[in-house]
Amino acid sequence: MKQEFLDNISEHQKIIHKVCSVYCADKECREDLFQEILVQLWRAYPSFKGEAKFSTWMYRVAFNTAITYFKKEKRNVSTQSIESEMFYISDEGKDEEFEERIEFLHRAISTLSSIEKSIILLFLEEKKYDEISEIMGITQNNVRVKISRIKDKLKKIMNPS
Amino acid sequence: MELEDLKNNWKALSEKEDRIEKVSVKELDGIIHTKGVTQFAKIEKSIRVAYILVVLFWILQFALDFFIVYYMHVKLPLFLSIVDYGLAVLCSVALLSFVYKVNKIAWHTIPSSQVKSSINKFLFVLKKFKRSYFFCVFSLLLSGALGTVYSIYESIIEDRNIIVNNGDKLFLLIYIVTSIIIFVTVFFLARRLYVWVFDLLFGKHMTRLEELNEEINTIAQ
Repeated sequence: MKQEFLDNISEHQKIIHKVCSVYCADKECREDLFQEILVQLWRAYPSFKGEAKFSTWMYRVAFNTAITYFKKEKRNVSTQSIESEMFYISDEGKDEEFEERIEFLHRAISTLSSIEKSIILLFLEEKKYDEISEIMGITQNNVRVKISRIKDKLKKIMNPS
Repeated sequence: MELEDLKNNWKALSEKEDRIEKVSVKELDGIIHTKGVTQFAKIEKSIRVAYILVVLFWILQFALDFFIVYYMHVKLPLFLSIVDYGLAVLCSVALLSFVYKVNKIAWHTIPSSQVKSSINKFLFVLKKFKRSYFFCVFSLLLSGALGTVYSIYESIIEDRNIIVNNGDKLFLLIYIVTSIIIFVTVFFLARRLYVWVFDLLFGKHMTRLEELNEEINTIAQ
């Protein structure tokens, strides 16, 4: 079971990285949240019965972990350092324009609430309304309305005048 | 910058991530064996701490009974002992089964539920624990109060001869005041324990979850 889990996670780990990049601005936070999500995924894995797609199930666990994640609370536990380059995105190939764009992206998203972040991530990932609805547990209509409101909110941030 | 740019930036970031080395299976394997620090993990730990505190408080209660029986020479009636020990066992078993259920069921299903449902379930578990815990602390208070009131009653009967014979009202006064202090201490300890556990161990989690619940319910309206 463990090997099957690790293979599945390895294949879909981009999902965790994307959730981390939406919820955390700095590398340390991303690493910690990555670890948290992974631990939760492993603990919840016995409950995965294959009713939903593995990626949908992963999004659920990742969002449930991320929205209840308190960054300030976790200093007394040992965390495993992740050596891979995945967390060094901003240091790789210093493209100033790219960095600026990414910083702007993070700034815009960071103004959203935890739940709005999860919805906008799914929207940016071009997920269909029915899948967003299945992950979030709200109706497709609610998803549509919420996305529209988030778009308005982001427009105001991006074009303050 | 327009929303389309936001999407393009996101795509650019995703493409860049695709080119970067992923976390290896070996590293993933190492990570899954570490301890979590999320709300789930923290609340799980807090529930265990709360349970241990109740057990410690019951031990304190038994110590008080022991003190009353052996040092103050007040005989506790059988019904009081049954209430005391019965409640202790009942509360401990009830809380232990709660901790077991939470460990075995809730924490495995809550994280993989739909986000709205997960928040609701999480709040439900906490509220249920709060009720169970209140019942436990209230029982503790009740048995403590019964023991104290009974010891005061016994002492008045015992001391009636002293008052009649010796007029030792000061002794009686000290005894009553001591009993009242014990009762008040037990009451405040029980109350403090309850308030402390829920404010310190669960307060911020409850607040955060209630905020999230309110937000997602607003979306769903």
